[in-house]
Amino acid sequence: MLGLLARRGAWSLLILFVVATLTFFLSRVVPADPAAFLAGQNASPEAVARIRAEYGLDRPLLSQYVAYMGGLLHGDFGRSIRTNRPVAEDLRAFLPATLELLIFSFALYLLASWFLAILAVRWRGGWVDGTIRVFTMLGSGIPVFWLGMALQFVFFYRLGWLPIGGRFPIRAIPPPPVTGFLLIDTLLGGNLHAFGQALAALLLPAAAIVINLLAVGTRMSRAALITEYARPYVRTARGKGAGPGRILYRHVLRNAIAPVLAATSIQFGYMISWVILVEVIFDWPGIGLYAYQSFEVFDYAPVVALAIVSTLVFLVISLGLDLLYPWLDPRMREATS
Amino acid sequence: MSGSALAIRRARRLPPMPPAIVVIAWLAIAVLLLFALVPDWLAPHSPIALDILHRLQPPGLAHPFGTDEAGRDIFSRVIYGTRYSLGLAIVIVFSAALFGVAYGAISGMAGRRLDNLMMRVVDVFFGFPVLVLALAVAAALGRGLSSVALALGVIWWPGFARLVRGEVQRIRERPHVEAARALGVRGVALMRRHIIPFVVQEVNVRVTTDIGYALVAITALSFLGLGAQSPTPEWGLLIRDSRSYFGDAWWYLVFPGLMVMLTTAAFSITGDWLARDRHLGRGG
Repeated sequence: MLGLLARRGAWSLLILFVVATLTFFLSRVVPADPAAFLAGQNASPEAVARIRAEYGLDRPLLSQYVAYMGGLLHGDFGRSIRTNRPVAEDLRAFLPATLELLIFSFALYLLASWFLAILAVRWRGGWVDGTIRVFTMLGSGIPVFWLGMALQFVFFYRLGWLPIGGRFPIRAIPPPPVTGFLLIDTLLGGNLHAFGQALAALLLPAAAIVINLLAVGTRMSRAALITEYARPYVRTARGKGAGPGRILYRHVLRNAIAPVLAATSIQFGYMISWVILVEVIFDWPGIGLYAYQSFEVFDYAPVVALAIVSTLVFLVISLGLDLLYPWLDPRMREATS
Repeated sequence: MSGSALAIRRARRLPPMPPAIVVIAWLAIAVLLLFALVPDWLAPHSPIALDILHRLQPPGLAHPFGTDEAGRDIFSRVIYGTRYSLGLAIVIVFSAALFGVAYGAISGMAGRRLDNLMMRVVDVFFGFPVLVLALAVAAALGRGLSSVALALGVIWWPGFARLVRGEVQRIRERPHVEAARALGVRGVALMRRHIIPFVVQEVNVRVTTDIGYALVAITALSFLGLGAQSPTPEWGLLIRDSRSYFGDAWWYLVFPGLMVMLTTAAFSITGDWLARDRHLGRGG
């Protein structure tokens, strides 16, 4: 167990190092000169040079790199030219929104894919099974950004049921921040109306993300359920008089979840990518939208920070899923120790 | 009686017709290739000619897909856009396949230590969310379709490398390879004559389905403003441009999106069909 943890930890550090190095050297070949941009159109060469020195852009590449990596170790991502604040501070302000959308979508994804898989297996080979397969496949064929806009068209422009974007109504007073997650903060404040508003804002972005991934998720869960149902212990349980509900929830589901979970981290990688797209579409004030708006004005440090932070989130989650696996399935404990 | 039975038996000897949906997918791909190759023969209007008087017109006889905010014909823009969106997807996947196959083949034939090292490099690419990396690379290289192509090419090849390396390792243990080795066939000749031909089908399947995925990735990056720049009629950029208008002009959003979806579907149906066929030729 500890060996696995150490190996995976070292591997994660290596990947972070590669991403940081790659993005750093790429960011220094940007054709547009950020210092010239910041100084404005009519700036004198002296003003541009002063800004270049201020941001350390005039030093040799290697010393910039060393300083940059040293800063990263202390959680310093440099300064954003657009907001004129340390990127780390900006990230702290925007990350909770991203994490809330990510976690909400992931929960929705797990619930929906297992629910559909259970339905499909219950009526295996029948029209329910077929319908679920066709519709999830159609969903996965729709590009996420287009689906997001189509949902906006139907549920905002036509039906007017859900907000077009944002995390909370502009004129409403948000709850006092405790966790940074609006769903939790509104509940802590005991404000059910605000909770409803926060939930309504989450629905469309999360749906756009989840619908794209449901086909793979449902297929994996369905296959795992079918494999488990074919095992002898199910027949034994049936012979001992256990009802279908008991067999499903106490026996089959428990055994089926673990192997699917291991494959879920790949899905999670896509989910992070889709969150960034969806934030742009729905004006969701997370790190994706922050990096996008910075990039629009050639401010590159936030884009690099986005790449590093989302890689970190991905690594932590896949490590967590790998550790969850032996915890859920005792048979795996011996294999990994 | 016996005549018709004979006819049936004869018909059975012919290779089976692919199912209707596969034929439709092929037709769609043929039409798309025509769009990409000779758009000026097929598009009724110029893709960039402005016509402010007829801005945001709904679909009709003059403009089957309607017009955009500058009065440009969306049908024509979509046709011209095929060259950018689909054309680039094909270029990216082919170059990634070329590099990935070579890399995977070398790794599969190499000794354990080199193979391990080469595969570790590939593993790194599966260690982070790929779109995020493509985004960072494309952003660093500056806006434009060439940066998108380079960024996606960089993240696309490891998939081919992993696939081919596995196949090569499987095939190099086969008796016919051993026999060739015993006869003194080595290196490139062994690879080219006795191993690559068995990998090609797997790669074909992957290339076909990946073209659809690459198309979605290109349009996604263009949607974020990293790829094609106005007034290039690239499909993702059309969808991006529609953002301010689609509440009142659904056609502006719907038709470019439908093109992306239909193209992806056509390639993935063809890929699935190739994959099913593949098992027939697997004996080797």
